[in-house]
Amino acid sequence: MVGVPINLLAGRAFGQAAEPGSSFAWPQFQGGASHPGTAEGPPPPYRQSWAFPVVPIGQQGASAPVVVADEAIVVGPAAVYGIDLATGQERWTLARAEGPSTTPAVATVKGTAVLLFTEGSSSSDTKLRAVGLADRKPAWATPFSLGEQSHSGVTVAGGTAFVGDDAGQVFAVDLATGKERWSVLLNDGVQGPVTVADGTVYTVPQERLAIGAAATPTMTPASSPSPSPSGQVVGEPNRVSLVALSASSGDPSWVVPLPLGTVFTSLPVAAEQTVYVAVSDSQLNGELIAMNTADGAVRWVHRGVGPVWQTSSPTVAGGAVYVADGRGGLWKFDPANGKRLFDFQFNEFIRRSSPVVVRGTSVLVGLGDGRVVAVDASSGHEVWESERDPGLVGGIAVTRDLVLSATGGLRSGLVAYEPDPQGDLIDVTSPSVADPARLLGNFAIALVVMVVLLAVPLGYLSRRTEAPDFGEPEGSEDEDEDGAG
Amino acid sequence: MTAKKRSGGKGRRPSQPRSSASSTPAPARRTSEAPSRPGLFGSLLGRRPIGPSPLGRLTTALGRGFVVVGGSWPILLVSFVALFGEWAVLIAIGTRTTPRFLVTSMALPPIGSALDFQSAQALGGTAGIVVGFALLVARAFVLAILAGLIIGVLEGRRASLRDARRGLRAVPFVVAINVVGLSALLVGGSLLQVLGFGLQFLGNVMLITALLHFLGFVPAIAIRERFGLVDTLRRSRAAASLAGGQQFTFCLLYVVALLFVLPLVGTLNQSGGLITANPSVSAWLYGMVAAYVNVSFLAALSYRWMAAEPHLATQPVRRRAR
Repeated sequence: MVGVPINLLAGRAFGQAAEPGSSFAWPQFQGGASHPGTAEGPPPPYRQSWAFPVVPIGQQGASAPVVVADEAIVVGPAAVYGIDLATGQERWTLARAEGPSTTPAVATVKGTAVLLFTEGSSSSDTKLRAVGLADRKPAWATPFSLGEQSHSGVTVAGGTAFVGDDAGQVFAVDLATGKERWSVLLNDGVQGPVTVADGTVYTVPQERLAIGAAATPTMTPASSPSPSPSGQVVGEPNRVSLVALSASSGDPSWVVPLPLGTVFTSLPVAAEQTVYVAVSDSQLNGELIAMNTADGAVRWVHRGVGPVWQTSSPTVAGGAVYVADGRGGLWKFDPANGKRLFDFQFNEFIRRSSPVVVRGTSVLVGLGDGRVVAVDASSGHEVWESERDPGLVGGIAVTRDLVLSATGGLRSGLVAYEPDPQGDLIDVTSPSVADPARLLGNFAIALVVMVVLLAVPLGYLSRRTEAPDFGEPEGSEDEDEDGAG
Repeated sequence: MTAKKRSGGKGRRPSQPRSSASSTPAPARRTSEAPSRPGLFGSLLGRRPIGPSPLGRLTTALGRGFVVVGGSWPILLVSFVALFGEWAVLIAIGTRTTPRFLVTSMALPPIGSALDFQSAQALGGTAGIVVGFALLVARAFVLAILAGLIIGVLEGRRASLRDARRGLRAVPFVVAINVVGLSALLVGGSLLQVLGFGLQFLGNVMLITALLHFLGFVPAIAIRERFGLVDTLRRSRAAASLAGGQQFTFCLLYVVALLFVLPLVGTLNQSGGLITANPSVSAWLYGMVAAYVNVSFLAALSYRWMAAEPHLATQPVRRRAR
């Protein structure tokens, strides 16, 4: 296997999103094992640089991209693609057994860059594969077999790849050998990349959301978990719970049941001794919960956000927590107390995109109508948006020069945006901010219209209508007057 | 017949002894000639009446309700300003919602209060409970004032400040039925969870209807009469159970209109489905139509009570003998 020289990668590493010690620009979901979602990329405004198509199969399009040196990598339903960042042209394609398009990961193994991704759609063909990034040849003797179809994607941290499946198994696989280090059975499926921070793995076992035609979520029950040989199934029975496992042994550190009525949750994110997760109930009401990483004790709860999809993660950056909810709300919270600092309501669903903070000044997120939007991190005003495009926007990755976004639908693929020197920033206030003049003006117009439309004809009708003679009861007047006096 | 053309003037009709059969209003007198036996849900579960119900015809009550409210600009003004106030408070406490919320904003108890509490929960903890209760009390004031104005018009006057003041009598009663209704919804909602989503939804609809069925006359009784809370509740229940009154059907009609028909109509207004703090003119129009419907049902309930009142006045409400 021809390895990519690690010093070359280090020299060309873009952005700061990667975990400490990582040589890659954006090596996995949200740029790192803890889902940091922040980078020193270009600030808005942007213009489209190129678009790379990925042929969709069913509802499966392109995964969230990862970036290594001058190459972007996306997983499609039946292949993995390497794309030249400068031109948007395909550099290589690697066939994979058809299955969910989940986010891959890149890691360094013995000085060479290795790409890890899952493949397959059934218990018999679902595997975690590792290939050398330079030659796409297997890095392990045999792919690692998973128990069931996997929607989790891959997380790498500390020489270990973490991957979960729909049956609730979480596997820790040695990156060097491809052998299992440990596995744990959770009480439900793993629906997105597990979060790894400070030696702990965080995940919320839950049923998988399927989006119906009416954009209403339904749950796909996972197969009932069978106890592992040790007999232990991790997770609160009959309740959605946040699970913390030791990254080295898989032993449960703690399990915290999430609020009663929780139907699904976001992916968790961990930073500064706090793990954040957004939960949603069957009425699609959401709340953001902050818990201590040490014991899962709840630090604060902020209610009133919309439902945050299973494929979206909050982002912690620049002393704030950002959440993108399914109704199109982008929220900024104070991590100290959960106070809302701002929110921008786009009124367009957000399902597969997570907030990405660029240079600490702009927050990017992808919308369901194909727009990528940028919001000023201090004012909360929208400062840039791309053209609408068929298909929702999924995961975003940021390099030093480009912003990459996965798109879904019939025009599934990867779109790159570059800085636009001729472009102008916009300044749009969220519709959720009250504008007293407009609020009162619209109300006053409607009030006049309604009173005239109703009171004039019905007043006339009322005077003309024969009505029963309901007298006022005896004594009523006296008491009123007494009271008034 | 005492039915007559209304003058619309300021003069008040002479007070009539409420215990006297001779003071029975026209529709009630017509219906009272046939004895009616109460059933738990009126004619739905009770015995069929021999003649018309003292509550009068359902369509008559609704027609009067819509005409009384629509024909009185003070009632409309109070309704719409209250609608604006509710919206302004929700925005001020940080609720993010769409103008479709305006449909239920002026809903009769306990629906409106349940939604207030849900909105206030966004504040969390004690603040959520305090704000939720403050909204409940504020809503009770608005409903009591509206009921006072409506009853004034039904009694043959133009709605006046005096009627609004008179309506304030009902505030503690409305607070009480809001608390009772809200508690029933919370407890009932939890118990109904075991039924699964479809049946739970149906169960909640029936629970809301039943609460409105039993408690719907309370504001009118509180304003027109001088009973304590328990007796007022008993009288409301007794009136609702008058045979042939179709009170349960009436309440079900309201719940269906509020929870299904009006939201369906609301889908025609696209901007109404967008989260905003500044509803468009069309969204406000839609909200005001919904408020008009809500208040008209309140007026219809008041009318029904006033029609049935003389019959119940001569039939003291007592506990059922064991």
